[in-house]
Amino acid sequence: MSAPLPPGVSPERMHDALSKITRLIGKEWVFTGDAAESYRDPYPLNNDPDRYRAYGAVAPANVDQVQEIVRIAGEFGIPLWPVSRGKNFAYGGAAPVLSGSLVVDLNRMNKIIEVNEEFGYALVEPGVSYFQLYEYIQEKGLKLWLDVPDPGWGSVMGNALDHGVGYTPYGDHFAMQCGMEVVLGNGELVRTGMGSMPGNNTWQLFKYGFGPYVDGIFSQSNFGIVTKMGIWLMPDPGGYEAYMISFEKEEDIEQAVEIVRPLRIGNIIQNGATIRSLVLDAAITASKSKYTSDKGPISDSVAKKIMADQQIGMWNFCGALYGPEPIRNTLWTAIRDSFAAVPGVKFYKPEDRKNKTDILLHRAETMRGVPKLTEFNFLNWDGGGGHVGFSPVSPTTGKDAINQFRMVSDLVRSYGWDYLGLMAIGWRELHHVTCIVYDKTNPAERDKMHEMFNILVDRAAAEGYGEYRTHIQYMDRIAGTYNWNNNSLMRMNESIKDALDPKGILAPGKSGIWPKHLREGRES
Amino acid sequence: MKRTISSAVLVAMLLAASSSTASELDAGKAIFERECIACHGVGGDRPGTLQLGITRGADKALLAERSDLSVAYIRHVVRHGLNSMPAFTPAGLTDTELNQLAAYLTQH
Repeated sequence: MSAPLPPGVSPERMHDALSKITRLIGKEWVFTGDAAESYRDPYPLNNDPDRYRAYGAVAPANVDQVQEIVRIAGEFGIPLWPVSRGKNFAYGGAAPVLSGSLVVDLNRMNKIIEVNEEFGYALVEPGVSYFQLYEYIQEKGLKLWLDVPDPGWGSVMGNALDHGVGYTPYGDHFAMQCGMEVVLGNGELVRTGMGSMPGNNTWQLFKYGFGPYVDGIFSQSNFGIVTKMGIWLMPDPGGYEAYMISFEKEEDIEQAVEIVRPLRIGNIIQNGATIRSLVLDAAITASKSKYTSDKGPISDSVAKKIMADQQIGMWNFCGALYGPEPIRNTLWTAIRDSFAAVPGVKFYKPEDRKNKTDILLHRAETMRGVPKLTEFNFLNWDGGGGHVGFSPVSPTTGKDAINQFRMVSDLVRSYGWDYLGLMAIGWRELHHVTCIVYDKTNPAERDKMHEMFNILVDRAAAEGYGEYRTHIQYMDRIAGTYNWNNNSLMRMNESIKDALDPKGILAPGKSGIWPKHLREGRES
Repeated sequence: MKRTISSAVLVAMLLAASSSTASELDAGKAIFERECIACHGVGGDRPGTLQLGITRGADKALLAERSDLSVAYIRHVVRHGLNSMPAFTPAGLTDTELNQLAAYLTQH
């Protein structure tokens, strides 16, 4: 089946645009037809194969080519969908919101421009992965630590721009971003912050420069294509120790989160720690068939069997201590004494674990910035291969934690799936991330997932919980929940969109933001 | 004049061919280690190895030790994905690199 064209673009017009781009970057970097199949959403949540399908993809080698591609797209009215490495898999991968878009695949722009050990930062292009930057730091023997999300093959820049999180003290990736270079919708190149001052030497040191701080508007947005970004790296802390605290009962999440809040705000808990559910942790080392042949959510007796077999609890708090031994010992005493108030609590260090492949041993690597893909063992829990993340944010309170847990887990289980969730601890908020694993090859499962996801969005919004990030299929819907004062935020975003990208060619529909010519009649 | 290939020339050609193959295999191994090993390496913490062990059996779990893979199959899986494995785009893994990877994985 031929790929769809974007709205209002004739085959001749697309052909002419691609001819110009081909002359610019070479035919080996222009992908259409079967060569563009890999740009489909790997885990679709609908049954229309042409929905969220790119017309093709182009892969520029440098900033000049990105600028020229944007100008050509503007000339011919071709929508572009830029991706750094296209590995944002549970959120649509490299697939565009608007079918017929051309993916601008920035994989080839993978230069590590600078890593500065003295100040602790890197300046990277979009195609640089966590694996690549980690290897670079190791090879050079630099005393710097990376902060990594679970997908180690993801883009350092792309993850930060999509507000991804990691698990060291530098876990809020966008907070650690410093200085950008951006191609705007008219092809013009902008450097933000101190980068806009010729001859400056603080582009990666001071975020704000002079005047409005604009970097944030290029995250989760479609206002420009970011082609360089600074990211702060943590100096080797001089000592490190991971730990796990497990809780026996599901309702313990309420007390545990109440204990977490003051420890985290006070920086006694130093890192982006997580409280993880039983099945999510069990799935890191085993599949469901090891424990039961029953269909549907696991029973209480199976849960107990897993807990005993894997030395884990209904919830497992994975954290780490950073710094010289006296500091670590002092922090650990405070943390341990605080959590000891929870009946049945258990404390583990890596040396306490009996299995070679183990949740704490795995998290111990992630929390010291070793990029991996181990977390995705959870996809093997019940087969099927597909997964999507539902990720509402709430205050770090016990009441909100158990409310969110019940709201999501009750619904997920009522649809026949296990609950695989985690609460990522930010400074003052919880990202409650639920990974729902489904059979992506089964059309009925896709429909079921779509139905349930919409209910989750509505129920969360009714409780005041908004998603921080979502799959391309739900961007409009999630954006619609941020509707205070007659959608004033979206109206402001649309004003910025129209000003910076007047031809409306950059990532139409990203985060629910549509260009003017595609906005009419779209309001639901 | 009838053309003949001397033994010395033939040996040189064979050496050149085997050298080229060895270099292709080396490149394929490097690509496997860069792109694939995080999922398909040795150990229970590798999602691809775990999945293949479940779905195909322990003797088929490790890709680098398989003898039943074909170039066409590898090319298809890499470009289209399979089960939870997503596809690799031709900008992230070029066709040349994919051919080298396939050569490495089908050498047995």
